[in-house]
Amino acid sequence: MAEVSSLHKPTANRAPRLRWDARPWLLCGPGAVFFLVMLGVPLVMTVVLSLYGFSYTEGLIETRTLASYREALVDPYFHEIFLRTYALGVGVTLICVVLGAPEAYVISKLRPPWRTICLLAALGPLLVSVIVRTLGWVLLLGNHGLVTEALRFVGLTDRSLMYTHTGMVIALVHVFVPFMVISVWAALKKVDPATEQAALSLGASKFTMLRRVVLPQVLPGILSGSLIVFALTASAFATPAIIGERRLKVAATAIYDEYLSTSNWPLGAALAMILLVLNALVIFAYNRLVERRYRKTLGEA
Amino acid sequence: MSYLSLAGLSKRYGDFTAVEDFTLDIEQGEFVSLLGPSGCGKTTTLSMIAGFTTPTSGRIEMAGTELSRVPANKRGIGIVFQSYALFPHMTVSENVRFGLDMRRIKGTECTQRVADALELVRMGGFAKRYPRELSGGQRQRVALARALVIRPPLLLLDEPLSNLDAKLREEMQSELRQIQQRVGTTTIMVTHDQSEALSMSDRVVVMRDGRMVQVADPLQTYESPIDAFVSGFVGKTNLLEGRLVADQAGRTMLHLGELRLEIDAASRAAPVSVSLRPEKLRLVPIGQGRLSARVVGRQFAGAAWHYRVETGLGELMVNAPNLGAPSHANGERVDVDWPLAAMHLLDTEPRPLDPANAAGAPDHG
Ligand SMILES: Nc1ncnc2c1ncn2[C@@H]1O[C@H](COP(=O)(O)OP(=O)(O)OP(=O)(O)O)[C@@H](O)[C@H]1O
Ligand SMILES: [Mg+2]
Repeated sequence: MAEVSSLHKPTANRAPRLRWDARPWLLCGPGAVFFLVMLGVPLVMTVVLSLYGFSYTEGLIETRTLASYREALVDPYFHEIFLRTYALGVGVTLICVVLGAPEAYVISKLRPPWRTICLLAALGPLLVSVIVRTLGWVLLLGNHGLVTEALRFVGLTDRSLMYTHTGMVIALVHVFVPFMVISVWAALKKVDPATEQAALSLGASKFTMLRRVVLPQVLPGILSGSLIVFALTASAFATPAIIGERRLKVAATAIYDEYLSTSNWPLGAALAMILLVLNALVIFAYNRLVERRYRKTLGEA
Repeated sequence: MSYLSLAGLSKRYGDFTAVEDFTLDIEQGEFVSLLGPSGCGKTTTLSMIAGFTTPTSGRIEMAGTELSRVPANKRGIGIVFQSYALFPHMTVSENVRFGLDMRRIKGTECTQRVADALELVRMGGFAKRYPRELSGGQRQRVALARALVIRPPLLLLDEPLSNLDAKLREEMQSELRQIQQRVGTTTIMVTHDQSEALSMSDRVVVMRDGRMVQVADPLQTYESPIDAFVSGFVGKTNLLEGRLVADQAGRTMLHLGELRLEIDAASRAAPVSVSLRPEKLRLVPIGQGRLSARVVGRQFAGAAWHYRVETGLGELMVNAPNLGAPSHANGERVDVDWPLAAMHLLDTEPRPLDPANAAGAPDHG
C-alpha cells in the first residue's frame, strides 16, 4: 500500500506542474548555439555586406544602400541566371522523380540479399565527393569522352555535351537521384504489401495497382524527395561550375564569380540573399501544400 | 465435380515446410473453416489459393480451371486479409467501391451496393472516414464489406472477425452465414476460435505444422476427434490413459486405473487414450458414480460452473450447467459419473489422414 500511495505524491525531483521547465531548453541548447554561431553569424554578415555600396574604382563603400539588390533584380543578365537555376531545379527534380521512384520500388521488391546490395549500389554515389563524380562526367562528356564518342558513332550529335544544359542535367540528376531513392524508400517501408495484394484481388491490373494504391501511399515520400532535390539543385555549385563553367552560369556560380572574379562582394551577397529567400519561399509554400494534403490520410501513421 | 479442388498443395521456404500436401475438394456454396495453432500454415494456404504465393507443388482448380496460370487479379476471389490491408489514402466508401470501379460498375448501382455493403457490416455512418480514424474492429468490418461488395464466387476470410466484440461477432457470423446461404458463396475461413469454426462451417479442417490433421463436419470434429491434438484443440477435454483388454468371455474391457468398463470396440489389447469432454461428466452424490472425487477448484462462467476434481485417474475438468442451485464447495467429496458413450477412444499414435474423408463432400447440408 505504501508504495502505491507514494506514486501519487510529488517526489523531490519532479518539477511542479506550472513551473517553467528548463530541461528541453538545456537539451537543445548546445545544438542551438552551434547552429546560431555557424549559420546565423555568417548570414547576418552577408546581409550587412549586401547593403554596402560598390564601385569598380573604389571597391567597397561603407554606406547603407539597396543598389546591389536593385542591380540583381533589374539586370536581365541575372534574370537569365535565376531562370536557368530554377528551370534546372524543376527539370532535375522531375527527372529524379521519374528515375528514382521506380528504382526504389523495384529495389524494394527484390529478394533479401539483392535488395541490400542494390540499395547500397543506388546510394553508393553519395559516398563519393560531388567533385569527383562530376569530374567523372567530364571524362564521359568531354570532347573525346566515352558518351560523346558513342553519340557520334550512332550519329545523334557530334558536339560534346560539355557546357550544355543537357550535360548539366545529366550530371545533376546523377548526383541527386540517391536522395530521391532514400526518400521514396522510406515511404515504401510504411506501405503494407497486403494493400497491393488487396488491390489485385479486387481485380486491379498491375498498373492500376501501382497508380491507385502504391503511388498515393508513397507520394509524401516523392514530394519530400522532390523538395530535397530541388533545394540542392537550386543551390548546387560544384556540378554547374565544372560542367557549365562560365558559359552557363547558375545562381551559385554567379555568386562565386561576383565574390572572387569581379570582387563585387555586395552584389554577390545580394544575389546570395535573393537565392536564399527564393529557395526558402518555394520550400515553405510547397511544404504547406503537402502538409495540408496529407495530414488527414497518411500523417504519421 | 467439386467447385474448388486443392490437390497436394505444398509450400516450402528453403528447408522449412509451411504447408505440406494440402488436399481438399470443396463444393459450391460450402463453408469450410481452417482451424489450427498460430504458424500452422493457414494464411499460406489461403495465399496460394488467392494467387499471391506460388505453391512449391500441387494443383488448384476452380470451377474446372487450373489456376496456376491465372494471375491473382483475374481470379475474382474476395479476400479479407489478416491485417485488413485497407487502402490508407482512401475513405471507407472509396475503399469499398474500389472493386466496383475495377469492374466498371458506376452510378447508382455502385452507390447502392457500397451503401448496402456498409450497412451490412453496420458501418453506414462511417463512409467519409479514413481507415486511420477507425478502431480495429471497424477496420475489420470495412475489410469485410470491401470483399463482399464484389459478390465473389469464392471468399477467403483470414480471421475476419477476430477483433469484434462478442455481440457484434455473433451478428457478423450470422450475416456471413446468411449471405453465404442466400448467394451460395463458397467460403474458406481461417479462425483461431474453435466455437466460431464449429458454429459456422459445413466442414472443419484442423491443421498442425502445415499438415491437415482432420477434415470433418463440426459435430464429428468435436465428438470424434481423430487424435489427442484435435480433441485438445477443438474444445477442452480430459485425456485419460488406459488399456484395452479382452477378457475370457470375449468382451473388450477398458482398464482405466481401477475402473473396468465394458466397451463396444474391436479388441485390440493396446494402450489407448480416452477423451472425455468436461460437459459430459456429472458430479453426483457419493456412491452413485463411477469414480470418487474431491472438488479442488471451481470457476463461475455464467452459464456453467467449471470444476476441477481430484480422482484416482488424476485431475479432471467437469462442467456443470448453472441451474441456480448452490454449487459444490471446494473440498467436497463427490462421485463423477458419465455415460459410456461419452468416452471417445483415441489412437496414441497419430494416424495418417483418411483420404476418403478429405476428398468427399460433406454428407449433410
Ligand atoms: N515468406 C516466408 N518465408 C519464410 N517462412 C514463412 C514465410 N511466410 C510464412 N512463413 C512461415 O510459414 C509458416 C506458416 O505461416 P502462416 O502465415 O501460414 O501461419 P498461420 O497459420 O496463418 O498463423 P497465424 O494464425 O499466426 O496467422 C510460419 O511458420 C511462418 O513463419
Ligand atoms: Mg495467418
